[in-house]
Amino acid sequence: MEALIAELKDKLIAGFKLENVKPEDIPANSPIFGTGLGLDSIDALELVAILEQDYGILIQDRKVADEAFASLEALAGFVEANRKA
Amino acid sequence: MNAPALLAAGLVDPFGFGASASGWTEWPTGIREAIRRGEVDPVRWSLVSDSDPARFARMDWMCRLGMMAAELLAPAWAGLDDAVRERTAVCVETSVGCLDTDVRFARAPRPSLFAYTLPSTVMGEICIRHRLQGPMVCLVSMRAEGRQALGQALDWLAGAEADVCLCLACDAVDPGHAEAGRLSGIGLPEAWRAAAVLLGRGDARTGGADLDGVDLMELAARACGRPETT
Repeated sequence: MEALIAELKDKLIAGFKLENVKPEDIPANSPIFGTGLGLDSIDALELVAILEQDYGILIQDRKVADEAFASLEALAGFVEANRKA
Repeated sequence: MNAPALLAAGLVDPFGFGASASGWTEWPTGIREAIRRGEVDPVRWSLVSDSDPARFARMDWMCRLGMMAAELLAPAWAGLDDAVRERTAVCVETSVGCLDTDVRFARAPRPSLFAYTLPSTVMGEICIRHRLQGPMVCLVSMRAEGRQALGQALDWLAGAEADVCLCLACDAVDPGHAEAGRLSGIGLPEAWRAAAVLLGRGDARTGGADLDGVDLMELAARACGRPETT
């Protein structure tokens, strides 16, 4: 799980062009959105697209997204349980 | 109404950037070359500001240029209180708008690109950053020299619809698209530049300026001390 969390951190930094943010700056147990990363609702859509493209996971339900994006730990668990790629 | 007063000006182009408050600075050679190649990333926000808008790196060329030009008005922004910002208008003039982003989106749709497929997005980004709430409009003209934007601003000021107006002329054409435009005869401007001026009402202290029919690009270049030949 730690490796997957590290992988997701790298994807967040690269995908959202988080300049001056290092992986260790992103807490694994804090909400991904609405915190210090400055990510907004468009970024949430982008993350949905990343999950589909990189892991073959299709999120079509808002409630599912809310739970998966609750934290990086939650996201890693969600990816581990649903990945097709 | 008194003649409008030029409160501040900023300019970003392939050769450098400037502000009426601090003068002209040429890009380092590496950045000039990157701009010529159409590369986005070397032009960083930190080159013009110490502040850190997290979204800048995710913006398209047009928004980056417009945001940078508006940021170069920083000393004037600091002098505007919230009541004035509520009555600060924004007028953007562009020739090709976000064409490059539209092409990229058509080739590879992404949510993060979608937000920048409207030429007016730059207005929203600037208004969020500087908390501007006056009237706003985005105009498209064949040559985005800013004459129409200035004209609109003068109308707003004369009609007391705004106390201050930000005028922005902004185009960010990828070198490849500019070349395609030339070859096709469409005549896309070979432009990668943004000029911003902040206008207020003139008074006895600030004086006034006759800006009717003035080229905003030239006005900003003069105010920023940009050399005529770079």
